[in-house]
Amino acid sequence: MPDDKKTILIVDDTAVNRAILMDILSDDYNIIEASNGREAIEMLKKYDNSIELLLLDIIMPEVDGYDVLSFMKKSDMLEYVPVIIISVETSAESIVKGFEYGAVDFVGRPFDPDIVKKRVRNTIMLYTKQNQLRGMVAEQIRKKEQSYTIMTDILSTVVEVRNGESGLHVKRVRQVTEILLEEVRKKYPKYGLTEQIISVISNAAGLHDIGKIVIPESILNKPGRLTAEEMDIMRTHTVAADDMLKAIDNGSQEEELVKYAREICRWHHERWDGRGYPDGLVGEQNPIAAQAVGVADVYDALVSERVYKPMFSHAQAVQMIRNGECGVFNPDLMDCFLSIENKMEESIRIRDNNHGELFDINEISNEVMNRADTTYVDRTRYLLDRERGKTRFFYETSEEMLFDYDVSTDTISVSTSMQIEFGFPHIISDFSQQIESRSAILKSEFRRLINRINKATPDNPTILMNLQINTLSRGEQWFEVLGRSMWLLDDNEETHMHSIIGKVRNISAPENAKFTEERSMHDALTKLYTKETALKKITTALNEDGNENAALLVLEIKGFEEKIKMHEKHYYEQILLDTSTILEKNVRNYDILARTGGNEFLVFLRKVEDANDLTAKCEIIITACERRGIYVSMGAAIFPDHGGDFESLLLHANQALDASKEQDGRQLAIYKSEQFRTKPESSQDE
Amino acid sequence: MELKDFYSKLGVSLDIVLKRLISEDRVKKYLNLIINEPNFALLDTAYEQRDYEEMFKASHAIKGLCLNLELAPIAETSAQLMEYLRPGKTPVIDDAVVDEYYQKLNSTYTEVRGMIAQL
Repeated sequence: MPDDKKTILIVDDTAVNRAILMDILSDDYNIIEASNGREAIEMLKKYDNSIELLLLDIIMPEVDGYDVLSFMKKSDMLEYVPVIIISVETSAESIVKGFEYGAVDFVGRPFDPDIVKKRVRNTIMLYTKQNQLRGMVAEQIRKKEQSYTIMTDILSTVVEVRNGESGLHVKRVRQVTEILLEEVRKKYPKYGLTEQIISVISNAAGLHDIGKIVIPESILNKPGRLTAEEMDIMRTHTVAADDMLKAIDNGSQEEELVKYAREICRWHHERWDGRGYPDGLVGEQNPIAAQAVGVADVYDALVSERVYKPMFSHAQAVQMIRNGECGVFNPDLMDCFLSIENKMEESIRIRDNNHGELFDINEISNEVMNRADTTYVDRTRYLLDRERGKTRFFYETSEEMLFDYDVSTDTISVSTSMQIEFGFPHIISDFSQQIESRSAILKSEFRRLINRINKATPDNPTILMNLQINTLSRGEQWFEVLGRSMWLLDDNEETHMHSIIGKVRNISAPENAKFTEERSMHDALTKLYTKETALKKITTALNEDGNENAALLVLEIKGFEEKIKMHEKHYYEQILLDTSTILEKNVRNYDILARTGGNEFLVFLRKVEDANDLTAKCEIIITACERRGIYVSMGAAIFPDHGGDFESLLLHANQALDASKEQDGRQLAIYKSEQFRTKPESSQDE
Repeated sequence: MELKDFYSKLGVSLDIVLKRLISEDRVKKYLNLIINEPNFALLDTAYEQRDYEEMFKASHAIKGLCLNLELAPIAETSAQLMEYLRPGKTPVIDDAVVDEYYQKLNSTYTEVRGMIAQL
């Protein structure tokens, strides 16, 4: 179970050896074991990032220690997870072989507990330091990139505003350039692009039109067509920028940013066939940086509204560029442009507003540290990309109506079937404003939705409600919206919602409505009854059973508050599920179970004979839970002795629960009226 | 039988054992684990099938765990068998030699096992 101890994996085919090591280390570490190479690999895959260190035997059946090391090397785990070999083989050759395969240390047998402990500790410390350093480098680089970006943003925005543009143009050209060059880097290594270079070029790209500062405003903002003369003057913005930057040179000619800025400013209007300006460069005479900005500039001009043209759609713009209507471009570049076409539309809309977030900071810092290789050194990023890939696949191939809403950017993306049903585009930004203006949903309905969303908490993240939404072809219909809010713990230890994912289901058909009603009677996670439903069922049962003894139990999972932290969310969901399964297995099918709170359950046992019978039943449940590592407190109240209706039984059961928590070691307490003097009438019962 | 006597019969001082394995309870726990240690059975099967590589691996494992528990006699006999069967060490393996070493190992193991049962 995850707690603050680090996790170590012990791999040895002999139970005794594992037991000895476990005894030496289990005080300080959380230990998991494997008895052969195959199991070890399974565990590595399963626990992935959380294993701090491996103690590995070499000679094992089928898959041996060397195989395990090879696997780890292949998946780059050796960068993060140190391996100490524990083997009987003590010959120099086998020790050297172990090192060659990537182990970092060797501990011989028999095991001296002090030596083992110290070696383990030192090795883990070393690797932790390394990771910290990596993080520090990444942070420094991020800061540097950020200040670069802000400066160029300011400068280029100032210039663009004079042109009558918004600062958005600069940003978009930057983004498109970056995305395009990323693709070029992957597909055409001959251009020699690295993440580092791409980030500098992207920054420089923002400066592409600063030459326009020398152009008179009368020409810049003329609403009609420009005369040939005026055109010529306009075109000088390229050379003007280059001249200005040359003049700024104070030895920073070597500075990459200036170099790329000059190239880009001067040559972003050149074309592949030599028919561009100012110098009529042909083909690869034009550096790739300027070529890329050329494409980005054209694309952005097409999808924006200008004084001399209306706004074209993304698809139209792509078409026009493809057809060469805006000049001929490098075929390699066109190839990349077309393959990222979809990504471009999506990325541009969802980009975070943070400066410096455009570049892959981790990759840059890795390049800086490695100089040569760009392997996925940061496993977290690799895992993230993997998950993204999976999610995207399921999303795209599902026939259901799925949505993914990002709170900070107020942007939603919806699956194909949802686009069809409601006439939405794939992605909608400024969603909360757009949804009303698209008249997909009534203001009052929308408000209901918002209210329900605001009620969600990290403990109760599920949002389930029915809404009327206007469809494209069938008018107003009823839909069931099932959403799951996702939460983050920020720097101030506060939680906030960062996104909501979910699905939408048409329930206008009558048989669907009943199903939904069923659903709202049950807790979404455990499928047990909700408190309201339990109240009804229990009250009915009390009436039916007449004078038969019954008992109401309130059960609380111990230590839950400490465990409710964001990174353990899935772990505590599992505990809740396990507990509800145990309860289901240990009550009769006419008993009633409910989940009434974050970590609280309600059990109503019908036909209980007496306090002893009740205690026995409770002990069974408590023991079953303990066996799964779940510790519970229970409070019980017996009908009719401790209350004649649900409310009083519940009150007394809760009081008993509080009492049980005070008594250390006793997990079950049955209500005793003389303990609770605040209720004078109940003292007559005993 | 006391743990102390157990070890003195094997020619090992209990103090040395405790230095490494800390408590008598733990030592007893480990010794009991040995009784069910699959590698002994694996060794037997491999012997029947004359699978020398498997025998090597099994005796290797046995040597390891006996070293940890200071069971000197078994450690010695298993080491002997293991080294003889090390791949590439002996060009031609003499079955008679294998038999001899195996029997030695078997008898030491059986003897120690009997003693463990009396703890």
